[in-house]
Amino acid sequence: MLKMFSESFKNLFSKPETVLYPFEPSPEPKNYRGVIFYNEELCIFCDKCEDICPPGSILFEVVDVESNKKEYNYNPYLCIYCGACVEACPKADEGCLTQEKDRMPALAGSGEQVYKNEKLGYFINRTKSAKNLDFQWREIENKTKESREKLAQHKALKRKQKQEALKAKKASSE
Amino acid sequence: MINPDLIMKEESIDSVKDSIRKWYNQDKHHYVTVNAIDNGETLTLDWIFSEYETKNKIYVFRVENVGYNTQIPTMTDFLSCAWVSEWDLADMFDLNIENAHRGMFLQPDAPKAPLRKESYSGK
Amino acid sequence: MANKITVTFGSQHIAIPEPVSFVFETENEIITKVDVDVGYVHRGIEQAAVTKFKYTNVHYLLARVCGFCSITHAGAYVHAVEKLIGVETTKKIDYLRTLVVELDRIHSHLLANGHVAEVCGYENLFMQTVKYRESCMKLLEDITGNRVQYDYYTIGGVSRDLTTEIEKSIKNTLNELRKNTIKLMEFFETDYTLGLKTRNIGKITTDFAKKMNCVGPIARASGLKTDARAEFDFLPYEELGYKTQLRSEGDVWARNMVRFDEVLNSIEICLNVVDGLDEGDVKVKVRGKPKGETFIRVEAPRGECFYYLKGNGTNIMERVRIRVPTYANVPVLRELFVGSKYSDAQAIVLSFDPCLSCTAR
Ligand code: SF4
Ligand code: SF4
Repeated sequence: MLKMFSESFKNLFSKPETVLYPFEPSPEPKNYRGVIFYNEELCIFCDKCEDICPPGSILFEVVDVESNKKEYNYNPYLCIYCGACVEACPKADEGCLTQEKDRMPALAGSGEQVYKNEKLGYFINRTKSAKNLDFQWREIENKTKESREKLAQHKALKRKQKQEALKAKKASSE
Repeated sequence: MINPDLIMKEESIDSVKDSIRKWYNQDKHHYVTVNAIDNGETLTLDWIFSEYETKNKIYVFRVENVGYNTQIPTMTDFLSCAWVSEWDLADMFDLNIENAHRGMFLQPDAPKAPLRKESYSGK
Repeated sequence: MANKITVTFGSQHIAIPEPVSFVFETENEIITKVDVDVGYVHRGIEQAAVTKFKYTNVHYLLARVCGFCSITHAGAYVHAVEKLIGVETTKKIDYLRTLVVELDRIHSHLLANGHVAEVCGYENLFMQTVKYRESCMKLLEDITGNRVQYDYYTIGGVSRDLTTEIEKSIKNTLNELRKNTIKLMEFFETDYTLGLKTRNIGKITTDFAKKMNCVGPIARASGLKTDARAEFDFLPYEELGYKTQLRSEGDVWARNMVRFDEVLNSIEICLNVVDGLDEGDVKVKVRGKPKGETFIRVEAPRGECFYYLKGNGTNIMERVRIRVPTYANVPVLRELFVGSKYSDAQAIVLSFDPCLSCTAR
């Protein structure tokens, strides 16, 4: 009982335990799991990160079926910062996909700009305003799905053409 | 089955209550839960127990091929804590469990029987 | 003649952090009948786990069943999947997992105890407890990279290794925390007013605990020796100095004390982990898909957490069944209210440390 009193008394004069954020900085610790940064030059487009991402916040849209060129779209506001993608990426050691300790700033009111960074992928850098970001993302989702189907169709067509060419070759040689 | 110390007893839906009642010893056995597994058209029901102060022991009373509308006995007369898990199953699979109240886990406007295969496999 | 009044407690109530509703029928001060509803935060996680997620990332979903035991849920699932695939983890991986699980238990127990003090009217004791707990949260943030969602377990390993710097800070922090915990324990043990609110309140006898199949600190405070850490092999607890903590009183106070005892024991375990850690990789290779059934019990801070998993050799699990500790303790909680005073209801609920988002899933 007495001890409690003395402790309370001491606490009266001790420094506050809390941080006066935002007047004082409250930095993230060194190994904080923040946003995912991407480097297109190192990517081999294996899609492993897209496969493992639990909420589906990484999507590769196929922009050119001929050359199988893909664009990396990342939605940091859907991401749960689990780090699974970085673990899955075979090129992570070289810095293709890294998890930084930065946090995305909160989405400001609609009509305002979204924080942009080259390494955040195409989606964030192409958005014009923060308004309806989730609808914009849904568009990307649909587009990705469509582009994948197109790619599959294209591949099937190619295969067919190849087979036909092979057949024709065979026929002509006979 | 990956649990080495698992003791599984196959029962029928009529006999399961009596065999558990006869076997269950309050000082020794710990009731874990009742579980249902949907096999498509029928269910498998598991009553799961463990043993105090013994390593890795798990007892399962398994009843196979239970229809969706079969009357399932309640264990609450000798396992007074079993009601939560029974009400839960009744909600999640829309089962006919004796004395089970509906609506504790699912609100009235929620989809019915969300854990039945037919409700999520799209068939 | 006594007046019958119906009092609702929840679903929103200042003392409870999560939505649960009790409808008490009271006669004067004494509760005579209880109705309980625990399903307000049902999110359909069991269904999502078998439809929307591949087995390789279900544990990220399950970690979000609950903020406090995020590591336990992910852990239970990962242990089960590893059993189904047949992965053998190394000693180092097991040790690192134990470290995070025990640190999680420490901060959860401290908050639970602080909460009881708060609803008994000791706001500043609550603040003090949370102040000490903060050091543990900081440690977890340093080790795993996040305060709440650790995502530390991965199938076949853990997500990152300790650095020497963190090892040192674990030792310092935990030694400090041990001193502070002992100090807090003394407050709880000796304070007269707190004693009035906690001693002999909400008493569960050993027989009753057995009858209602209690789990966790609630059972152990009533002298029922049950702990999944001792009864199921999932992490190497025995060699790390684990001891089951028992109290016999069975009241609110004993539940707090058991938690403090366990905090001290967990600190011991964590220090042993850091001392016994050897070099090596934090991941092993995983090949194959889960097939078959398994039953897993792990010890969450609130008690035993049970998982049933069935895989069918594809990417999607066939059935994931979660039975969480609070789910098992709700029946005894309901019985316990009958006959106690309405003014004690808050302390009783909080001494159970209920986690409703786990229960409703
Ligand atoms: S951190 Fe997790 S949620 Fe975020 S992109 Fe990577 S895998 Fe997806
Ligand atoms: S896993 Fe890495 S290499 Fe593969 S597609 Fe993703 S970012 Fe590129």
